[in-house]
Amino acid sequence: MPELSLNDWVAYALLVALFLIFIISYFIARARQKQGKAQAEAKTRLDAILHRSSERGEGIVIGLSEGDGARLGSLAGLTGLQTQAHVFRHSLISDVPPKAMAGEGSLALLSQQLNAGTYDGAAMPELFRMDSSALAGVENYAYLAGLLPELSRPNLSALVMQGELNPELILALDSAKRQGLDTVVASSSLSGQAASYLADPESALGEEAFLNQSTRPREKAGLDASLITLKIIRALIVVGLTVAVLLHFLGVLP
Amino acid sequence: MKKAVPLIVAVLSALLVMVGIFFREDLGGWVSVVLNWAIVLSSVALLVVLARLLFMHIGYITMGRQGFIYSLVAVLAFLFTLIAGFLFGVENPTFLKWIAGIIRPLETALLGLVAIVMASLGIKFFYERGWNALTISFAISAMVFLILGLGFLQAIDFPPLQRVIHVIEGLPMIGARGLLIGVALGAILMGVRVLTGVERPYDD
Amino acid sequence: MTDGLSMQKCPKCGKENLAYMTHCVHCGTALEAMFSFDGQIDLPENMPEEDVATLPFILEEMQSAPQLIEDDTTDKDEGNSEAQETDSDTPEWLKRVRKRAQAEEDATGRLTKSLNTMQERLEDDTKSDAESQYQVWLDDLREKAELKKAKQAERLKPSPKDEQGVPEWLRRIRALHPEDEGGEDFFNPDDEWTEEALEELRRKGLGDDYVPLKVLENKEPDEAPEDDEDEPDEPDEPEIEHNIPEDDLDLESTDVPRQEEAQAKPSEKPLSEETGFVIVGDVKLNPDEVFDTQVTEVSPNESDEGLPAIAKRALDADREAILQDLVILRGQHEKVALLKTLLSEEGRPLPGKNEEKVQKKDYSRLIIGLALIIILLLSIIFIPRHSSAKATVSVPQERFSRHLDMIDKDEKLLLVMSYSAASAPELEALAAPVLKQLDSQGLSWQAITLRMDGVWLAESLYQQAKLENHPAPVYVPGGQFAMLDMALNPKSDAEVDAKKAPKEEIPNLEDFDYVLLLTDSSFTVRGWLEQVAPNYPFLSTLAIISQKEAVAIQPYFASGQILAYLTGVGGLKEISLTAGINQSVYHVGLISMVLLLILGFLLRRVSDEQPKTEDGGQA
Repeated sequence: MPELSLNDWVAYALLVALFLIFIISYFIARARQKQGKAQAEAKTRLDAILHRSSERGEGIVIGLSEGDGARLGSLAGLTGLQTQAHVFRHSLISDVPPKAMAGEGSLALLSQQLNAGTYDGAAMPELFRMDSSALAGVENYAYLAGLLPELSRPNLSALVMQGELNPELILALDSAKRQGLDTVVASSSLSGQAASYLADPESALGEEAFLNQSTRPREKAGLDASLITLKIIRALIVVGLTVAVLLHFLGVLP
Repeated sequence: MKKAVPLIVAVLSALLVMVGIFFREDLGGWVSVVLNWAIVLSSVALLVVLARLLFMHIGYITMGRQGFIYSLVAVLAFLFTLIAGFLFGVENPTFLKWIAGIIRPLETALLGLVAIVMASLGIKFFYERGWNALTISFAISAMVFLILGLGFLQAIDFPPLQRVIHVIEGLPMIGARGLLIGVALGAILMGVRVLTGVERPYDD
Repeated sequence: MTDGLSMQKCPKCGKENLAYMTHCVHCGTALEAMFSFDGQIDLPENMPEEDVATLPFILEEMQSAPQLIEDDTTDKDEGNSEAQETDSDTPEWLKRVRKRAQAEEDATGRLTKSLNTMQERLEDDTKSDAESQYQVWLDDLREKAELKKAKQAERLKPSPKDEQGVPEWLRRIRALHPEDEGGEDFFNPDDEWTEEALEELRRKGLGDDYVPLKVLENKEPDEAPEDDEDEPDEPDEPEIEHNIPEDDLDLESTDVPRQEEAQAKPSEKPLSEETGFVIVGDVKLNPDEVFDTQVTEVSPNESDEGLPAIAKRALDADREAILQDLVILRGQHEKVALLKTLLSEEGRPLPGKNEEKVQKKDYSRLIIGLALIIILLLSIIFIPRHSSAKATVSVPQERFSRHLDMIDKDEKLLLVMSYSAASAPELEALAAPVLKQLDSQGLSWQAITLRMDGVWLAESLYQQAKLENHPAPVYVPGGQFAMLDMALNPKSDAEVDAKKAPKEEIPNLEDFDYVLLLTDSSFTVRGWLEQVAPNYPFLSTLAIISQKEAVAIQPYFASGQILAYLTGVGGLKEISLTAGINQSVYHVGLISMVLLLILGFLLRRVSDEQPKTEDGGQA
């Protein structure tokens, strides 16, 4: 057991608080769902894109993590998988089915497995196609080289990217815009967020990169609980920092 | 049961790794086993997906799909690299020179393209979004840091100016710190959601 | 319970059933024949149940709607009582017409009703031979037309789908309503009456008393004379939302031009505006556009004034008949409209499918790119390189140099590489002098790479650093997992010897004093600092990182987790201060960017004065 400093204790306390708040919020959200008191679902850009693609019979390209961030242990990549599942659940019988492009082997396999499960769960396994998820490339630029041709396919509606994405993603975004596609970007990389902001003013910033969307009760409750937890923890951090600054000036803290 | 098994495996693996970090002496070996499984599985997954990618491109070629010529290039390049790697070994200097000689210019050209696209989007940024608080602050901050990057102002020997420059140069770090805290919180929450089985990216 | 309701007798068992029952509740015999009208097709009894189930639910629902059933029975009752009252003095032809009208009521709709009503009102006043002949003639013609339709429908094979994939139920409906197909004229002159012909016939029949309905409807309220006290004031009728069926003739005239207009310009309007059911792009649908809720208002108190009594009575009766006919639920109207849409849209391509997206021809990027390249090329060619150019030294830069100088030759350094080929020129320019200095100090160091391409990228780095025969970096797969594995399970020398593994391939972090991260991704730095560094507090971390990611590691530098770092053009102090980059050219590049930003800022002012153009917009 390593020795713990004051910083460590603060960090662990914050972690425990976050865990507890999340669990409580989650159960409250589930209870509200069961009582039918859950908040009306907000319409997001992704919803708009899904509706439009359904109406026009067009497909969606989903970009998962790439580069260093796509390697094992990327939580942002897992979030992207959830978004992918949401898109596929709403486009099961689309004329042009969505396609997910991953930047790492295990992510691509997980993506395929998830798609197979989605179609299977909807009692239409025969519609699942192996190429609904594919490996675009294993490093940043190889990934781009694999993704860009996909954006040139006809009958596409949007490019949805979520995961650990480097600033090179701006090439894909720019290409998508030039093809007339809508774009939704959520990168957990700071430089990726900066670059995507330049191309898309509504791209996710900070913790938003880890917020996915779902209409399933369990995941929806998890998302609601996450939002509540984030608000509370952010408030706690702000208060904590303010107190620390005051204590510093009062000479209590070094 | 079908859904419970992956959930149990995922939660137990995550808990073992977490506990192993705190009790390294006792559980380090077990954690290492789990991590190595994950690494091996990941490597195998990469092989499988690469094979799938190859067959997909071969399928495109045999079908004569529009743009199959690119698939042909991809398959030939793949086979060439694979065979050359097996024949000469991945540490052969000639082989490495060949690979680097192809990849470096390609990627550098793409990076140059990124720079040009960013410059272009920097202009379009104002054109498309107009003048508002956000775009104006973006313009000012971008120009200030570009001018600071020139280093002319730092060369002026005027202490108050240097202090101002020092404060300005610290601003990006403040923003980055705020974003990093947010990213960290989001990542932890995602971890908690996976750990508690609320999110199951491995299952649907 | 059944008092007041009309009943029917089962032809098999003879017991009574409700009038609208399709099967006998006592013996199960089909009673549908009693409800059939001319042109209706009886499905074969051995038809699979699935096929029957595919008949449009719309028709089912309309047939089973309680309002309609009540109306039907009421109409029948009224008709029966009237028939009994006037049975003695009613001419033969009228009996035939009434009988016919009762049977055809659902099929022919308002036309029959209005004619019947008109006939009833006229019977006392204008019993002329010409009129009776007209009615008989009209009935004969209608009967022939319906029979023709029925024959057409019967000729269809009972196969579920034809060659074009049109299902059977659809073909049956088409056979019954041929006028709906292919945008043909609404009334086929072969088997139906045109509006003008009917008007002409009425004029002939009514003589001078005839007033065209169009005139009545279009008559301005101002022009109407004062209320006729002889006529009882009718209560204000509630406004009924309806989508007037095309079968209706009298008031159809207001809708026909609209329909013709829509058919005339199919390509000019998005599909949604034509059909109201498919939204294309950003088209916002107004419910009023989707459903024809524009009721043709005929005020009973105003527009009827000044008319002959007979015309008024005819009009009132006509209105009554119309209203009875229009008591249809809104939902049913919607479904009927949907069915019509489906029929009319069949075979057409889906909206958006194969639709050419407007790709903007934007040459601004090309111009900007070319301008930047030309400016930089010219500055590289014409501006001499000043090696003595004074460059400022940043704090991390200075610290890096200081730490490098402080490293003792007995200490060991682990070089962790993770960068792409695109970043290689930038990072090699910074790292090569560092490696060169380490080598000159006699320091022992080992390299690993977290990326596959690091193996061949290292070759170039070593060449620049003039390192000969230095072992290539070891590829460690697994990303953060590999880092954590290294941190949690260090392999001692004894363990390595026992496994007979090549020693240089398994780095033991306990053997090292410094770690130098050479990367173009802040993710690698974060991963190292989060997974590895907390387990090895004695390891000092240095970094060389590409400029695009430098900001992301500044907080770690400020907190002391990274001792120092090099980035961008800030190389090692006094050895490679400008990282091999021509400082003047670098300045030209920065100034170009400033000018571009100003240009963009000013361009906005110009575009503000121009009207905004819609380009589809964001989702």
